[in-house]
Amino acid sequence: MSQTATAQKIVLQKPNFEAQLLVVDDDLMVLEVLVDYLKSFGFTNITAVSESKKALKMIQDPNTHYDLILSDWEMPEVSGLVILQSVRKSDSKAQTRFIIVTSQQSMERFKISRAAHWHVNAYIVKPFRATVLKEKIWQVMNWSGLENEKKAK
Amino acid sequence: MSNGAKKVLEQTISNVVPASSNKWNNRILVVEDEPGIASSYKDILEANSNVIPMIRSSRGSPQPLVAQHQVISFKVTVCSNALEGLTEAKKAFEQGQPYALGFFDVKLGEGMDGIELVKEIQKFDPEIYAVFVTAYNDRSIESIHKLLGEDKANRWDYLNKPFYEGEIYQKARNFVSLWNLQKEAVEKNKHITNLQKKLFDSEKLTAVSAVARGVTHEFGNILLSIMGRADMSRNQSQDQMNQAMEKILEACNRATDILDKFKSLSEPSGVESKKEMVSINKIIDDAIDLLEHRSKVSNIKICKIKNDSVMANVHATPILQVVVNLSINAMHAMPGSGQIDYSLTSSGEDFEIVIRDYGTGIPENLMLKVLEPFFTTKGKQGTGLGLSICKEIVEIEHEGKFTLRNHSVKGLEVVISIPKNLKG
Repeated sequence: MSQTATAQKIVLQKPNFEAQLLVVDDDLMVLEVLVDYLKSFGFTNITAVSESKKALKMIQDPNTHYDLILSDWEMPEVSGLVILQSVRKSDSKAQTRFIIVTSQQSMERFKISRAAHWHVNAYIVKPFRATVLKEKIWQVMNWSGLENEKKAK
Repeated sequence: MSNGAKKVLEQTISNVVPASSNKWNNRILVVEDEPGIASSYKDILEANSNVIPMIRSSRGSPQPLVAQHQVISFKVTVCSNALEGLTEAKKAFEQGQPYALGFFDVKLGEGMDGIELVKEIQKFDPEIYAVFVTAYNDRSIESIHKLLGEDKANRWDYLNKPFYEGEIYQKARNFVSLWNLQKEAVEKNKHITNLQKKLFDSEKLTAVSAVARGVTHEFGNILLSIMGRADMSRNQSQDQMNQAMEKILEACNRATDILDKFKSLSEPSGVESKKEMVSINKIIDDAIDLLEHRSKVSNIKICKIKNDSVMANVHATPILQVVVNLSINAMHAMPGSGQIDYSLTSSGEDFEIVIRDYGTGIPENLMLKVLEPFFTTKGKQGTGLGLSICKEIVEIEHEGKFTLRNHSVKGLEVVISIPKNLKG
C-alpha cells in the first residue's frame, strides 16, 4: 500500500464515504453481493445497475458524477470495455477511477492490454472476499486507513 | 472368382507386392501323403524362375497372370500326414509366423482327412486360406461347405488332380496376395478408427472449451455470491445469518445444475453409452442453458418456435453435443448479434429438431462440401469436423437424417430427424 503511494508520490487522503459509486453487473446475485460489500465498508452513495446499456446512458449524461465505477467485463449488449472507453472519452468523467470485475477466464492477454490502453485502475478477479475489494478501492482512491486493517485474505 | 474380380485382384497385387514385400507373408503349408506329389509342390512354388505361369482359362487364349517382371516365390513346408500338418500349423501360428495358405490333400490315410484338418486349423487360425486337392470326388463341394461353415465359405477352394503347374502357382499367388491384402486392410482400418476417435474427441473438446468459458464465468459469479454472503453474515443476528444461508444454498444449487450439464457434455466417447429414453425437450433446454452466457455476450436471442413434448430412445450425450455444436455454429454465423430458433416436433415414428440462424446461410455450391470432414470456413478456429461429426451422430448412431438448407428468407436451417424408438 505505502509502496504504491511513495512510488506515485501521492499523499494518502482520508477515505470519503460520501463518494459516488456506480456498480455494473448483469448478474443480480453478484450485484447484490457487491452492494453489500460496499455498504459494509461504510459507503452511502451506491448506484447499482444490472443493464449495462442503462449504465452507459448514465455515464454519458453530463449531469451525473461518479468517483468510482466497478464494472463486470463480460456483459450482453454493452461490455465492460465499452463502458470503460466511454468513461475515458467523456470530458467530465475521464478521471473517474475504474475497477474491472472479471472472471479468471476472461483475463486473456489481449483483453488486459486493451483495458490497460484505456487506463483501467485495477482488476479484481471473481470470486473475492470483502477485504480484497476494500484494498483495491483504497488503493485506486489513494485513501489512508488500510494499514490498520487486518490483512485477511 | 469372376474375371472382373480377377483383373482387379491382379492389378491390386502388382500395386501392393513391392511396397510391403518386407512384411509379405509367403508361407505355404502343404499336407500331402504321396512323396512324389509333395516334392512337386516345392518345385513349382519355390522355383524362382522367370517362367510366367498361364491362366488356363476356359475361353480365350491364355494370358499372362501378372505383369511380366513380377514373380513371387513362396516358402513351402511339406507335411505328410494330418497330425503333422496340424502341429506345424499350430507351431507356426503361435510363433507369429502363420501360413497364408495351405494345400491339403483330401485323402490323408488314417485319421482326419484334409477337410477335417482344415476345420481344426481354422479353430486357432481363422485367416488361413485352404485349397483342397483331390484325385477323386471324395467329398462334394456342398459337404465341404457344410463342414467348414458359411463364415469360412470364402476361405477355401479346391483343385482336382492331376493339376497343372500353373494352376497351383495361380492359386498360391491369388490366395497369398489376398491374405496379405486383407491383413493390410485390417491394419489400415484399425488405424483409421483410431484417428477418427482422436478427431472426434478433439472436436468434442472444441465444444467443451466453448462452453467452458461460460461455465467459468458462472462459477466465478456463484462463488462470489457464496463467499460474499458468508463474509457479510459473520457476527450478524441469527435471522440475518439464516437469510444468508438460504442465498448460499440457492447459489450452490445453481452451481450443481451447471456442473451436471457440463459433465454430460464432456463425457468421454470411449465409454460406450447405452441408448436411453430421455426427454428431447430437456436436451435442447440443457444445450441452451450451457450456451446461455455465450449467447448473452454475443447478443443472440434464443427463440423456441415449436416445442412438442418428445421422449425418445437416444444416446443423450451425443445428441446434446450435436445441439451444442450446431448452436455454436449458428452463433459464429451471426457476429455481433442475431437470433436462433429452435423447433422440436413429433411426427409419427420420428421427431425432428430444426435449428435456424439468421446469418447469411451457405452458398448452394458449398452446401454438400460443408458436410465433408476437414472443410472449414473458420480458419484456425475450426477443425472442419463439427458438421461431419454431427451428421455421423445423427445418421450412423441414430439412423436418422441430417440436412442443411438455406431458409427462404434468411439464414441456415439444420434439420435433424431421428426415429423415436430406435433399438440398441
